Amino acid sequence: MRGRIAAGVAIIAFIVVVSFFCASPGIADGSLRLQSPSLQHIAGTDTLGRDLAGRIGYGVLVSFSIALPVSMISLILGIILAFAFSGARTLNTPFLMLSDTMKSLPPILLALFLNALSGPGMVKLIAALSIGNIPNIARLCSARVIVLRSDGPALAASLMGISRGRIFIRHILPFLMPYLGAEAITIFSASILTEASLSYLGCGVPPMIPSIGSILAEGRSVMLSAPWMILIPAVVLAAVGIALEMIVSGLSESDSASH
Amino acid sequence: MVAYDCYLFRMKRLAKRLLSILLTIIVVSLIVFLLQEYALGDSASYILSEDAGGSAADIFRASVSADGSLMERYISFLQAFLSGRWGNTVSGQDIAGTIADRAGATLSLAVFSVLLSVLISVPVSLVSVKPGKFPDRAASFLSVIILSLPSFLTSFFLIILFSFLLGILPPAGYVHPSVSVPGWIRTLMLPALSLSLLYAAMIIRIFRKALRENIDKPYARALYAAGASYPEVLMKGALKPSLPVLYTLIASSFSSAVAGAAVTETVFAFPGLGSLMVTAALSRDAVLSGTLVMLAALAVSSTYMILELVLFMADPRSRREA
Amino acid sequence: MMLLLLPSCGEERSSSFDIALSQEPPVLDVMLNSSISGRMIAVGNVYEKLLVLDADGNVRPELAESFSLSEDGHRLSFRLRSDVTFHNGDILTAEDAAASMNRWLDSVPAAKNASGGSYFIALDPVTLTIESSSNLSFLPVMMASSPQSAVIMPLECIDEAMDTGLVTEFIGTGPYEFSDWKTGEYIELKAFRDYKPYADTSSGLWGNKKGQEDVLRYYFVPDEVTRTIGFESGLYDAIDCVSSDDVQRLADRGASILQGGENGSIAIVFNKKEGVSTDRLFRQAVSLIADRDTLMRSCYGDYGFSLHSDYMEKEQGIWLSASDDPYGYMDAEKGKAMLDLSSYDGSPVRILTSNLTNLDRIAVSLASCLESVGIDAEVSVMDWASFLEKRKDPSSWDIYVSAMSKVPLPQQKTYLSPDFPGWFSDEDILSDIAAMNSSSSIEEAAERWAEIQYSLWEYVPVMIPGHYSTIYAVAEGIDGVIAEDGFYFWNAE
Repeated sequence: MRGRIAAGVAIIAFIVVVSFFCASPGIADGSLRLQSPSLQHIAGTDTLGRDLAGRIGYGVLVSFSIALPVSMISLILGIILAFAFSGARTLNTPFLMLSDTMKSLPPILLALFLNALSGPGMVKLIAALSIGNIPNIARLCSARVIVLRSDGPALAASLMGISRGRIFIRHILPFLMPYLGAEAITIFSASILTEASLSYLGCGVPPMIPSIGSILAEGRSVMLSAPWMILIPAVVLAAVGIALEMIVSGLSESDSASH
Repeated sequence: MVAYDCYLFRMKRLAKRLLSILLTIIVVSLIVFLLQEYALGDSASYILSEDAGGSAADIFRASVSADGSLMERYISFLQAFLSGRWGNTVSGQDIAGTIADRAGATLSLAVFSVLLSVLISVPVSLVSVKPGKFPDRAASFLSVIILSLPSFLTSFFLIILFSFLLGILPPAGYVHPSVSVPGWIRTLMLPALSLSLLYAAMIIRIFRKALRENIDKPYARALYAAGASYPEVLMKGALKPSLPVLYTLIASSFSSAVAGAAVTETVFAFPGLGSLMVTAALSRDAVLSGTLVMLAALAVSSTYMILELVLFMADPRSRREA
Repeated sequence: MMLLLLPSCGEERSSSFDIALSQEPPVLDVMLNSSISGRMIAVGNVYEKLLVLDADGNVRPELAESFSLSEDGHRLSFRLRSDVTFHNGDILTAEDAAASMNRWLDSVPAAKNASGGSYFIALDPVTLTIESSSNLSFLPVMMASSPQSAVIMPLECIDEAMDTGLVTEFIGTGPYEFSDWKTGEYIELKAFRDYKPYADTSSGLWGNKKGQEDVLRYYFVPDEVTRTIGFESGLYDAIDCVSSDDVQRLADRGASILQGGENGSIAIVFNKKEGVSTDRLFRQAVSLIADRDTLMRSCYGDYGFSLHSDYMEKEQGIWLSASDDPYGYMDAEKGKAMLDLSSYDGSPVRILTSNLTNLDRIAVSLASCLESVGIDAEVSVMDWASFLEKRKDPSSWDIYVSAMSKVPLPQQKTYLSPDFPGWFSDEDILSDIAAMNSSSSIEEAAERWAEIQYSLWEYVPVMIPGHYSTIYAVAEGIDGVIAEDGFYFWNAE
């Protein structure tokens, strides 16, 4: 298991480092439009004549810098929600309502509207992407929290009169972590993909900034005549996906092994 | 007496649930109204030519402009919605009729995709339960790939394979079942496949994990010890206890298909509710957006409510969660 | 007659002529909404006009039998054809024509100006006139080819439209009548059996309309790839907005590729009210720094555009200037030098555009050109409604990028108006334009325009990097498709 996690992390690290070094938004040049991969342009050029390899590198960094806050925010807010509502009985009405509300607002619609509020922006994008995930986290947490509370050290602590907050931080949170680790990674990769879909509809990242999603969205219209514009970023995404999967499965194996 | 208490309890829960659904749809539509209110631009800019002037344009602008406060407009929207008089879109089409047409399409798509996803994922999960062997590796690899790529990409790969290279399935459109059932299935095929691959990949991941957990549990081991064959153990010891997980996954896939398939619908030019939502947002049509979101919320909430019912009836042990 | 390579198993669709369009018109009220898809579907098919342009750009009568402009230009009269029926069976009378034309006049500010505020009057069932103190020489060409179309519909439809402002029943005189509109899917037209052609030959959008296809179905397929593959697999007989990059492949497979004349131009409009682009030197500098080829190519690929800075389209012969645009070429060095001379202070240049039809690519290319000489550029891409709203605020943008449809007369270019975003403010040019508007003939106006065009090139209220022309694809074996400001199938077989 250790090996798998390490391998996954290594792949991600490799991709990030390479991206860091070759990241560049590129300069538009009509004469270089849609050139297939060559020595000067390892991944070819895009519809505006920009070097694709540089843009993919930049795009990886941008996609990651969106996905990371989204998973963090979803995680933190989800945990907070679970904590806030775990005081009363299990599935009580307001909690259910809130989580149903968030689930029913399709992120696409939300992003379209947020876009229309005053134009695209990274903050709005992150907000739109986070909202859909929070109820899931909260639900997962809730379930676990209930179990953890009614048992062992947490129960003892509550009988001794220790405040709920402290119980939460010392006895419950540590046990949530590995479980949520896998969830966080799932949200991470899902955010990259949802951002890609939003870019396709025209409300993803602001235009000058490439993200893997927007590169794919640009490339799909020339898919048949310039396949490298789709295939190369797709391979990068697949590599990221596989690496993340390795980390997740490594984590869950170690999680189940320790039980 | 116990039976009566149970009954009362269940009725109470049901009532609570219905109340929460009602509140949810109200909150959701209110949010959408608020967003529409503050969104830049209005319907008139979308519908009229940039430089259109004159009395006709003025009448139109007046008819779509927001008069009355936000709350007044919202209340009248709610009243109209609840009484079934849904009004017209900003471009003059009957909302109820349009939604009825498109809802049929979206529902067909949702049901078909979920069906396909179950047909794909359940056998694959069962066959690849044993970790480390070839079926496991193959299934894991394929599902990771599908889950790593944005859905519109898988859609395009499917279109290229089936429409462009093989030429056996249409890449766009929708034929109503009353017109031609084979046509209906054929136009549903690619969008449904697109969605179902995604759902299947997710189901395989989570369902298979549940299967593996259950097959290690005492119940399954006991069956083995009693001399049952591997397939029997699999079915009775692993599949049955994992069904609740499967039902949950089916519910989430279905609600995703109903409320969130806008991208897939756009790619396949599929006239469903998702693409209607996009149009409503672009044309700043508050009434249409509000109606659609309420329906989506209703659909999602009902799906989960049915899920709970199914889980409750399927596993009496869950009744302990009182 | 559909070219169905797919096994169709008795689907009823095979008897219709199927066309896939990239955009669905928001409404079919073509007087108020000028979208090209609405025009392609309704104008000429369902509706007809009093006057249309033929292939050479001449104004020819369609629903009118004849028309005449008085010597002094103050009176325009039409004699209507007497045998025209609407799709609902009523005969076309001058009352219907007057009501329709007056609604059109009312909705098109430039036409209202041209008519000097006068309206049409029906003198008798076949005679229609308009009298004005202004010179009406410009009105015929506006009636024939304005993007907001001067179509004729029954009086009842105009009256009904007073409710919501929009026409809701689509009744016209054309060879096809409106049959069904399934939103998000298609609009269906079926052949109008009582249509009487008014000529034996045809030229451009004028003339004989045979209407041989029984049913025309216009499907809406926003995604390029899906549309193109749908065409290649035989699902559609014709598609619009073919990407340059697909042209070769489609042609190799036997499709006919049609490309009409220029449909319009890209307008890069400067904010002359507030901000960095109020300085003429800055505008001239940007005009020199921008690489027009890259800009146009980024959006239209190899085939879909032509580079010239005239404000009017190439086919509109008399409106083209013989001289050259002094800032119409790329010279980044010179541009940079001018920039240093100007009052530009290094603040970021804000470019606004909408994501309609890939315009954002042009904005991004422009930003890229600016950045390559050290100008900090920010691009905002919004959906159409937000874009229109944001554009009204002079403090929020410096440059906006939009597409300008072909219009019959230069004064219809919105960016020449002081009230329109951009806020044109050169008094001299404005008075020259006013003088041109009161010319006594189109020829005279065109001569004046040649000089005005040159001053505009120096003043740089906008930069026109180039003009675009849409590419269409039609399946093998289909003839008679007219590709002129859209594509039309009334003579297709």
